[in-house]
Amino acid sequence: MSRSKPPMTEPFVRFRLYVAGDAPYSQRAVANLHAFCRTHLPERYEVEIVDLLSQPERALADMVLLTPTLAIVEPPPLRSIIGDLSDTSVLEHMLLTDRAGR
Amino acid sequence: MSGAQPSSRDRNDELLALVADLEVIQRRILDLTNGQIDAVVQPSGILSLLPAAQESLRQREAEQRAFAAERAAILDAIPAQIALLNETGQILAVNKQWLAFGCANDLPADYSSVGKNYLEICEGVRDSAAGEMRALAEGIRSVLDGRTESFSVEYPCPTGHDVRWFQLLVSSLGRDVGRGAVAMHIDITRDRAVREELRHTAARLNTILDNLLDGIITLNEQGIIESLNPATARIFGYAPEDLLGRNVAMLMPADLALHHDGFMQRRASRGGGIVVGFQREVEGLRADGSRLPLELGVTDMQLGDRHYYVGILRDITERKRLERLQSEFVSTASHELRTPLASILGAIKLVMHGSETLPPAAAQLIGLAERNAERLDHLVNDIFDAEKLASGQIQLQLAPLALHQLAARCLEATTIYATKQRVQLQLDSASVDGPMVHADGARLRQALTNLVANAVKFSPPGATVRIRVREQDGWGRVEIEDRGSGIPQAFRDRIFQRFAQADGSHSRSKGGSGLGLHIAKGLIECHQGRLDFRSEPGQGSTFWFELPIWRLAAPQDADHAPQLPDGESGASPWSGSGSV
Repeated sequence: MSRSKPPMTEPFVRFRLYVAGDAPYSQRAVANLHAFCRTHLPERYEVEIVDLLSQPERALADMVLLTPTLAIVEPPPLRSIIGDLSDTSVLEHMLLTDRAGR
Repeated sequence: MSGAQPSSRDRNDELLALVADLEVIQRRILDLTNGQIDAVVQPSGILSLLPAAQESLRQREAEQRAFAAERAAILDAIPAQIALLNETGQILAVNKQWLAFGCANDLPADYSSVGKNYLEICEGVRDSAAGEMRALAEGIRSVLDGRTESFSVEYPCPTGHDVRWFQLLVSSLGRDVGRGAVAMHIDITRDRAVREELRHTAARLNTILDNLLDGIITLNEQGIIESLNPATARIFGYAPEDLLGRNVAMLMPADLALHHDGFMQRRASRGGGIVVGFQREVEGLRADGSRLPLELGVTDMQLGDRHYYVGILRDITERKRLERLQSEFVSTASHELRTPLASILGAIKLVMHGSETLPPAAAQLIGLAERNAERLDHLVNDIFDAEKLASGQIQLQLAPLALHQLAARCLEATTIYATKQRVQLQLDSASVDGPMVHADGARLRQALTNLVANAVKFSPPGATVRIRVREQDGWGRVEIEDRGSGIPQAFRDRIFQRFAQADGSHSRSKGGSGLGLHIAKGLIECHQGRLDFRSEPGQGSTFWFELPIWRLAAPQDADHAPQLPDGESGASPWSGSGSV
């Protein structure tokens, strides 16, 4: 949502979150993701929300079979997390290993 | 055989195994995600919501429908024309009144309906209101652009037969909802008319107050001056701003101010009962410290839950001065008249009752001179007494006396006059010793004589004037009843005024100064008594007066009588004596 020039050392993170309209877990996933980003990735993240209720074709194209599903689009490689993100440890782990890998 | 098509049986077994696996997979997915799944995408691309998510979305839709209905109902209930605009000025929603306005003004049905751009509508107006409407559009735009949170303007709206006034209120929807605004038109034609009327009324009243010679002042319950007109400031020699918000005690001499504070406190503690307007003379204190006489009327005023006093002040310095001048003139003149008159009367009596018999022609002339000199003497005395009553200079020599005996003496003195008028006098008393009152015998006799002489004067020849003396409810009462023509209705209100005459010609024919009743009433009231009359036209009149009964056990306190400090001799033959 908010985007500004990222610091040189910290990579910019681009998410895509697949949801089913206002369904409860989807909504929770949106809220949890925003809370996580505000805390851990201030000023260097972007979230695209894909509502599969209105764009079901995106599901097969992106190989998403369940909602909510979070895709880390950038930095590559593309990775996915299924669920409402109430447990952020997987997300943290993925972003950390990503940085460690560079 | 290997490589051959699997038999239908094998295919079925494999399918069953896959389905079993699918069940395991699905259960496993739910396990792994703790069931935090809303929907599953089928291989066909169809998204199937899980039952819990379906139920939740159904509920949410129902809530949104209910909310929309509530919002519409609320908007319709507000007596204003309301539209919801998006950030471009496009109308997203309107209430009933908004639609009704278009209909009432013969505008096309979809003139400003949902979907139209309100800014374009306003700017498209080409009639006489074009300027106003462009200003409205600019105001709305400033809110939509986020330059301001809200905007409000009053504007006239010509509607065929008359001009109505509206107020437009635009307020931003706020950041949470996104850009956009609520526009609200309120018909304020009536409010404006009322406001205008109030303004005119206030202006009119202010003009009157500003030009009034009398001072008008408003105080709150604490005695603080809340408003005053220029005359008030002028009377006291202040500038109006020096008085506003100050305690009114600053306009009073110190002694009166103390008393006033006590008064205000007592009023406050009593909870402010309504005092009927009363008027009295008080002293005021000017800015330069000098005192001035004022006539003050005070009225209570209740505005909402607040209590005020309204005071009307008149500077009576000039009137006082004139009264004093007049009083001085009258007493001087009376005195200067009485002295030579006494000599004239004395000389005439000497000539009349001297040893020498006068020639008939001379005796007739001397008699004429005596009657007229006596009339003149009465007149001067009456004027003198009336003046003393008016200035409060009557001095009473109080002593206990019996009303019956007073009446008897009075009748004796009037008998000669009554006989001349061929009128009978009759005295009825319950007791020859009663009733006892505490009074100045000479003054009381003067009052009674005036009443009896009046009764005789207005009785036809052969009639009887009855004087009744009795005690009634703690009062000593004397009634004088005549058989005259009665007192005309029109004259009753001013019968006790100075120089009052029912009808000039009639009164003149009967003689008299027109001061008798005025003096009698004044004298009785000096004694804490009361005097009044009842009359039937054609039947006669009854004048009566009452004085408080005097008893040995509880003598009337002389202080209650309006006895003034010595200042005038005026001793009469009855002064200091007891009953006559």
